[in-house]
Amino acid sequence: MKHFHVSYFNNKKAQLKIQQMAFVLVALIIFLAIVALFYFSISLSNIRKTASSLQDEEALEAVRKLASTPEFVLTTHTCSNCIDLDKAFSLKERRSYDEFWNLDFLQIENVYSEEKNECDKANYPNCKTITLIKNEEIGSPKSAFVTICYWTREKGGYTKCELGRIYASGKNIDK
Amino acid sequence: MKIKFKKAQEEMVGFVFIVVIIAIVGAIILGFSIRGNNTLVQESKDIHQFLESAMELTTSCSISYEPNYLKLNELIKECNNGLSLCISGEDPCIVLNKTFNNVITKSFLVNEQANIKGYEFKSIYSTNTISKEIIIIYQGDCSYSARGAEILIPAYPGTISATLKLCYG
Repeated sequence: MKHFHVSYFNNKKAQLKIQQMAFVLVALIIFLAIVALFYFSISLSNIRKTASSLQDEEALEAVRKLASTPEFVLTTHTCSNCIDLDKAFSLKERRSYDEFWNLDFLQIENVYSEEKNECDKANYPNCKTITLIKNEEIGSPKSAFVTICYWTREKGGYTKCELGRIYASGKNIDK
Repeated sequence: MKIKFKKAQEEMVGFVFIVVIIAIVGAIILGFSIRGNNTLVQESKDIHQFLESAMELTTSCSISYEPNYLKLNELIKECNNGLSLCISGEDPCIVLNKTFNNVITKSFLVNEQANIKGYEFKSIYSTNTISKEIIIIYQGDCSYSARGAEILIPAYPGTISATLKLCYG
């Protein structure tokens, strides 16, 4: 009888120990799960950030690629990012180019210019912007820095390059 | 009863000890992973494009005759050489300083109230043996996070690196 009592109590103690161990393990797993959740939420937000910045970079490149198309590129200098503003200005009047780029909005801005107005035959090149395409719904245009160059008659005439921005929006840019 | 109580206390201390160790290890791993992702200066495509475009713009300095004005990258080279003055009599480095300040203020809104608190433009000439600072132009507070870019200009026998850092609050 005595032997039975000792064995019974020992068994119960062992069970308690196992229960304790199980509780500790469960607590540890919950703790580790919380830490892992925290870590993954941070790394996921970083991935999202990287994806959105990559998308932005892609849009920037797409906008900038426009500058190196034959319709805009300056051929007298070896500069792939230089826009020939005289060429761009001459395209402004040509309606046949409206569907050419498949864009909703296309504008070239002279960052350097103190003027605020749109370029026309009367004020060119002393103006701020050349808007080539402006549809009714233009969305949110993306922009990229470019160099804009034009012929000036000052000092006997030379090609003057200034800092500009090219703005574009449309399916080709936003995708 | 007393022995049982002491044993329970010991187990509690053991459990807390394990939790604390795991928490410390987790915090260290997390700290390293976060620090690894956020470098001090983030590379920016926009600033890279800005630098590339700015280097091509015509300055007011010509060395040989007017209107053979230097481009900004040529002006940096001229400032590095330090051999000649512009026809106007100005030092190429002073023209460089003025031109770059003007370009930056026209392109980005930089002040304490704006998103961009300051900027730092640094140009360094280096060869295999030497490294020489050409010019540093800065404005505002640059102690917080920054976005920047670097471009290289060939200047035989070495290379000139031009770095621009825009500092955000």
